[in-house]
Amino acid sequence: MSEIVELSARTLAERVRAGELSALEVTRAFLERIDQSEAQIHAYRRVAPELALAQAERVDRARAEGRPLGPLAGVPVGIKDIFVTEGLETNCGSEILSGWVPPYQGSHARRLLEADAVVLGKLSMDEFGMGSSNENTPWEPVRNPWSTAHVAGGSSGGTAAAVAARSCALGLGSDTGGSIRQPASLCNLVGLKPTYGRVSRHGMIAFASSLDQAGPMTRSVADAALALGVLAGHDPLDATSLDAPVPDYLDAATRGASEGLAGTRIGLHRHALELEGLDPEVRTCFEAAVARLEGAGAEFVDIELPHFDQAVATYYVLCTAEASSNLARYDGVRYGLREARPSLAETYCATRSRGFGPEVKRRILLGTFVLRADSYSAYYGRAMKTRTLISRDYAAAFERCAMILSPTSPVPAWPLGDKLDDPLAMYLSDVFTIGVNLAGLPAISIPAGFTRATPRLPIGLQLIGPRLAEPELLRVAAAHEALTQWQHERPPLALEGQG
Amino acid sequence: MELARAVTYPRPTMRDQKRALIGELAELAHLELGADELETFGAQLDDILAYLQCLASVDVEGVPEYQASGALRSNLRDDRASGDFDVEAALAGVPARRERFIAVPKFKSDAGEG
Repeated sequence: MSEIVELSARTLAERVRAGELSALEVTRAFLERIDQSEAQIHAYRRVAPELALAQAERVDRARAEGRPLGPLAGVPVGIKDIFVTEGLETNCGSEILSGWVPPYQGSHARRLLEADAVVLGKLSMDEFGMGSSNENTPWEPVRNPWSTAHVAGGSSGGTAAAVAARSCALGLGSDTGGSIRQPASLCNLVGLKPTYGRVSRHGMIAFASSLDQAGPMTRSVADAALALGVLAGHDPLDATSLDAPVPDYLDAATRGASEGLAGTRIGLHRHALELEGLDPEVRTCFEAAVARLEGAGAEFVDIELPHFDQAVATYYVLCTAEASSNLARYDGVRYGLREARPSLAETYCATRSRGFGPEVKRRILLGTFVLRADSYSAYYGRAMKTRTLISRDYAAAFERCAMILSPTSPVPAWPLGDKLDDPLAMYLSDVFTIGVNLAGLPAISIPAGFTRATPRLPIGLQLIGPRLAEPELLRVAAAHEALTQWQHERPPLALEGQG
Repeated sequence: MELARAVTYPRPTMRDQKRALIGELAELAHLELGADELETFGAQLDDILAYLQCLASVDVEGVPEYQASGALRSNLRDDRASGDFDVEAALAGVPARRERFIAVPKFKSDAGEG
């Protein structure tokens, strides 16, 4: 395996800009890596080698002509298949969008390409973002590069697997209830979910519009900062896009790596640590991280989140309600699959029944139920009020601390197939991540260690901040990263590829 | 004259009620579900709805429904055509077309069912 694929996105961009590496040789190295690893992990839904090489040639030509190159010059990126890419088939993990080639470019792909990144292809995901294991798919489930018998997490499992396996230098995922952070945690990566509205949702196929956010998945905090700098910013094509200045995220990460944490107050929600189902090794790694951050000067304070226990229920009422509305557009008329029948109504039913998988159907049914007139006040209306209370809980906590620390996932990666027959068990695995989306807050998952037994499975921890606190989160995440060696570990799959 | 024997109609079982509910939801959501799916989804929704009952214990008296932060403003654009993509590009991905139109079956079949 070429050593090029071990370089960070930041280093790759610097070397391409300096002419030490060509975008073409970088792209070829990653395409070769995809060839080596894909049969084992199934991270990609679609690889686009001709497109990628053409993009790389454009970057090299720009450099040769003396034109300035962008912050992601020549960096090979993988994009979760929830993001619309002009001319490149986009399925959102679903048969119902089979064959759909978008006629327009989404804002994420546009920004990455304007930054001179090279798009390698589209990454596998749980159907319409619904899932925590990348097993809700009509195609091959994604496998964890740390152990191919285990899940990579979801719904951005393909993104996580590709970044961990070094088959892209940087990945773009989406997070509605933890779908960037949880797979990052399960694959020893950095996964950043920005403040709601920080990154545009234009071109992001909607699951739950009040919860969805796009964000980077990387092997280092600095790379996440670099990517966020490209993605963040007001977008006139998204009415919920925040009109707020974009700070220097890379500077925040760089400072964090060299400065201590004196004066940083971090909140601890001890009730959550007593959760039944919290894996003992996750707890051990978490407690070690607390000691590590204290040693670097951070001060921990106890905080309360009184409605923490209702967050999962609140989320599954609201996200399914929004999904049942958002997915009504998939009816066989304008795009994707059409199961033609004599009448329009029959065509709708046949298309949706054939095109949606069981998890999507389940959530549509639940969402339809909670929005019925006779269910509204008991479910949807009540959940919307509980969401207000959850949001207030975080606001109250942030009066006492700058950010909150928690495990990302209560468990490390589990064996493929283990939770497929118990959707509720799957939902409960989002317990630490979900409140963040309900309150519209930013959060980052970072590596925190590994399980002891073989196979060694990654464990992550999460920092949650108030709105627009990404610089502070990156600073503290970088400080933790500087105190550990987890980011330098390579999964067995990456080691197999060594020549 | 013999009195008609009293007929007792069986009360709908919980299982029947569940299937009826799932069937009704499926119809609203334009989904056709097979017998196995009706059974499976019925049982799973039961479990999930039982879990969601924890929301009933939350005191929401006087609490407004959630609204995103005031920092989010609907940034309006001028109402003018931008020509982002032409008709051919827009229709390139449709399953069936007729000239400039998306072709669809008639709303109801000839049998009057729709």
